[in-house]
Amino acid sequence: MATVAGAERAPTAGSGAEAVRGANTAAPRGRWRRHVPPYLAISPYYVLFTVFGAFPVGFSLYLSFQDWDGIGDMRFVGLQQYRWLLHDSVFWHSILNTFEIWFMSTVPMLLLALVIAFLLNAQVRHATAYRVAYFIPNVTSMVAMTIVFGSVFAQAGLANSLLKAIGVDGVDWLTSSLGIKSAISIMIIWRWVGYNALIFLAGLQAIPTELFEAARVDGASSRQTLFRVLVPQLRPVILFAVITSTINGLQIFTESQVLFYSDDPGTTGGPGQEGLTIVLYLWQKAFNDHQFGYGAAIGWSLFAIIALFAIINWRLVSGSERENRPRISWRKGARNGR
Amino acid sequence: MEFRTMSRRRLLGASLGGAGAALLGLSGCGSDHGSVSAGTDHLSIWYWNGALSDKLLAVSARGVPGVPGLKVKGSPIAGDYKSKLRTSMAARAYVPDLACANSDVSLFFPDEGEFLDLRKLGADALEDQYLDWKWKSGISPSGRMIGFPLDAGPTALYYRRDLFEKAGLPTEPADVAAATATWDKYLALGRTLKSRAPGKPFLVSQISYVFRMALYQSPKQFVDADNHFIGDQQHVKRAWDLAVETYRQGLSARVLDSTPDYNAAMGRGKVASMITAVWAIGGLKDVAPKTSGAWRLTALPGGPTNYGGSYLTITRYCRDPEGAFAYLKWLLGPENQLKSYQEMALFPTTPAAYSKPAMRKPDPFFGGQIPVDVFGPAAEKAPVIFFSPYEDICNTPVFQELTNVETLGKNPEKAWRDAMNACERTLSQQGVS
Amino acid sequence: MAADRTTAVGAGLAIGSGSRRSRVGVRVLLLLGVLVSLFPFYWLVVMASITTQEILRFPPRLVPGTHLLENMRQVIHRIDFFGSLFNTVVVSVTGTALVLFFDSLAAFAFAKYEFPARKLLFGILLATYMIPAQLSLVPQFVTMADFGWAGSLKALVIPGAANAFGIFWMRQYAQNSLPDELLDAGRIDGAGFFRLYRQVALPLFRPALAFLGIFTFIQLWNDYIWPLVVLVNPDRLTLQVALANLNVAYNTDYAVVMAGALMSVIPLIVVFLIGARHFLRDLAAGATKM
Repeated sequence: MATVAGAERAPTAGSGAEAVRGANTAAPRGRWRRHVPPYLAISPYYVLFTVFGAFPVGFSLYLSFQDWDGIGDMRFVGLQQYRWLLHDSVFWHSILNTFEIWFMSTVPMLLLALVIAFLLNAQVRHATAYRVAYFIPNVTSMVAMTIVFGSVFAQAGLANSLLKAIGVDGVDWLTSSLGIKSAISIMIIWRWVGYNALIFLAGLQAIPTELFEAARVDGASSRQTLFRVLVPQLRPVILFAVITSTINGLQIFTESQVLFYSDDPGTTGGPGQEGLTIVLYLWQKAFNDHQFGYGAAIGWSLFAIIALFAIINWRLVSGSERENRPRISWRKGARNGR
Repeated sequence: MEFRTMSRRRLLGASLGGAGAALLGLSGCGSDHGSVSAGTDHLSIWYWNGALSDKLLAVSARGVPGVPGLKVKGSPIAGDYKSKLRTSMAARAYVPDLACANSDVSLFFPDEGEFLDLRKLGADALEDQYLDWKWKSGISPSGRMIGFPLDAGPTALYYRRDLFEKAGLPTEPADVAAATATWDKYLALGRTLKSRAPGKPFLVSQISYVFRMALYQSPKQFVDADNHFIGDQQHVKRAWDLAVETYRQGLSARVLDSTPDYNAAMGRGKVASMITAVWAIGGLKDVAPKTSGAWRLTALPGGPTNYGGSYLTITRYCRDPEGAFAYLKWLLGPENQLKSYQEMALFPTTPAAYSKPAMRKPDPFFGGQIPVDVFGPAAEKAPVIFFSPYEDICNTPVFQELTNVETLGKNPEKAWRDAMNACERTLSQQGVS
Repeated sequence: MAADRTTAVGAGLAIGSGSRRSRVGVRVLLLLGVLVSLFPFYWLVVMASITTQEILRFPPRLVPGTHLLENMRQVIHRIDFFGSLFNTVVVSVTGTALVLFFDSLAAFAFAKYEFPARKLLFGILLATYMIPAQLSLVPQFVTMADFGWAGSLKALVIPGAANAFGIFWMRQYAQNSLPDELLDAGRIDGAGFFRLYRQVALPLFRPALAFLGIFTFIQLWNDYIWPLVVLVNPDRLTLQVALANLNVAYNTDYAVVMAGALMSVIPLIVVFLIGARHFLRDLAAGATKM
């Protein structure tokens, strides 16, 4: 049932439309009536999007020009929130943190996922059991697992106990910049590596066998097979994983929030706010400090950053292959959180 | 086969329908009114765990004594309490009828309209029963009384008598008080302790306590009554320098509160003294049950002060203001404050209670010492402090930077500058300069 | 989906083509990975079944203890576990049902019907995906407050009841797997749009619905930031928020917090294991097909 990537294209939108034969010959009134059911069918999305998507986005822009604590009166401040944002070192710190965590998690994760995909591909027996085992971290509650990892990385936690057992000094997992970012990255890697491995595996298995046979007949070495056949064939899938991880990575919230959640809002982001991500800062400003206007401005900044990345990704993808637009959408849907 | 499919489908349909009905049913109640208790037979009060007596809450859930037909039920709120209260006010939904407010009640002064003026409900008649500084602190600059005294947070020096003894230091409360009369003497004692007591115990769990206590000994905080930033002045810098000095001399265990490491450090006797409020007793007993009997209390280095202690408010969404105030009078009267102290270590804001036999019970955790002998005078002598609505805004970066100094080894001078810059920047967003 | 293909491709690669020794190597590495993947769950079980004192002890205890039931009792005593479980189930089940219905309906229309502005509307649908949800965290909260929905489970279900991802994904599926001939046959019998949807399209959509259903269910179940913000009624929370609160309020009592974490993890794993086979196959298809 699967159409193979790169080999055979999914039919384009036009082909399905021909199904409605005779539509054009109907009388104008009947024709419009004929179109009512499909419009009805697609309308829920547009209605919901208008109310809960488009309107809040516009409202968000309006809010970002106001100073408002959510309770009292709004005060128009023009571009002041954005000006403050530009000079807010915590905000820049949160951007830096987000990118550091993104980098520290994504690169090892994708490499690991690739290795696991190859291993899974070579393993024939109990294939489904292996896949389930690797995928399970992705379906479990992030809050619960963050609590578990939080205890593993405590000063006297399991991670340091193991290090101690092999004669290595304990690491300040939750009290140093590198430690905090490593701990969060490890959580992300653990959660997403299996998911990406399965995506890679699917890409791997979708490569037509004939290509490898052709390579072998031509006397290609393993290395040539790897770089001439495998890598180009896997490219779309790898890009897919890179983009998913980027979009997930730029919106990290739960891990950082739960790890340092306490009665005291000052602990948000952990020591030195080294675990403070953009979305966490947005949440903190809006719902701890009740600076709704500032929160809205951070939201727009996040949008700008993601849009920038989307454009870069778009360029990369459309540069490598035609017709990749749908793939981007798929990835965006796969993001976690909200 | 056909039958099986049908029944499975029917089961699925039934469960979907059930869930859908539940969704509609659950959300059906309570949307056009703001009170969380609308549609129920009781008033609702929000608190954080430990802020109110569980026993008295259980009583008022069945019926407030002396007020026929009135029931008040409590909801414990976890996490950042005041944010959640403010968020519900911003949502104008599920706001409680009554709400506890923490020592930063001044934070709500700009939105004082969200709360009822307790004076209009008859609070004035009760004023002389309560600690004067506490009473005044619940009144906004415009004269609206939104916070009613709940408990006080008199402070003390908690110390491990056994470790002090092994280090050859004074052991009796009066002697320790003399030996730690000033902050400098306290730090000096800490050096002795660390070098001589077994296990090289630290003086404090983290340096932010030194900063906090020293700052609370000053009547001025970060912002003055004219909305001017004064946090860069000597009264704050002095507290900061003391904290940094504690760190420099290696007297801090560098463990953050309510982390596994904090619990382990307290439980294993790595921390030999604490400078904190009366309400920390419960937490200490929880995390370090094995150290029972070893602790003692004495006066805080540098003079008495108050840290924490909360207020009770009635929100404008309250469905029954008179009933709510009757409940407040019952809950916070001298008699029930005494009960709350016995049960929860909530320190009364009614000084008459301090001499009652029930408050003068020896505490075996403190080797039979009577805690009120230390905390009572501290409560009555606590300074009147001006808290602006903006103290939290400044506290946050300052405490963060102290943590940075302590846990990340950040340069203290740079940390101070960063903290001051953060204060001024955030304050300017609030129109304070 | 393709054990046969696995061998075929494997044969083309150095790694799988090899000897018995390399096969053993593959298996050892894979098992190692499985160990890492599953260890946190094991560790969670260990911590949930011992006392807090034992958790804090050094060296740590590595095998489960006997306090699981007591710890679970404590969880139930301290938070409204079953209430929040119920809320999470209500949100996940109704949310998933609505998404499946609205998305498949819209996908059917987009895939198999021609109507004015179809391409434009579909383009808008794709474009709306560019907007990150967090952009409007604040205004969405304010909108919910204005609707009087803050604190209600509606706020978690209704805004996402039809989503662009699902519509797009189902449409791809519909184009590939719903033969026009079947629809034509139905039309000759006089079936209209909705009857064709119900009688012809829906049965064929089943595998895609299974994937989208599990995917949506997991997302709704695990959603955290939005419930954290919008559920202002402390007596009506979802499991994730209740668990985070348990963690904050009883952070000195790890064993109980861990028991709560364990209890919140189990239902979802069960749901996943039931549907795992379909889900993993369709996940793979989703990645390569589009």
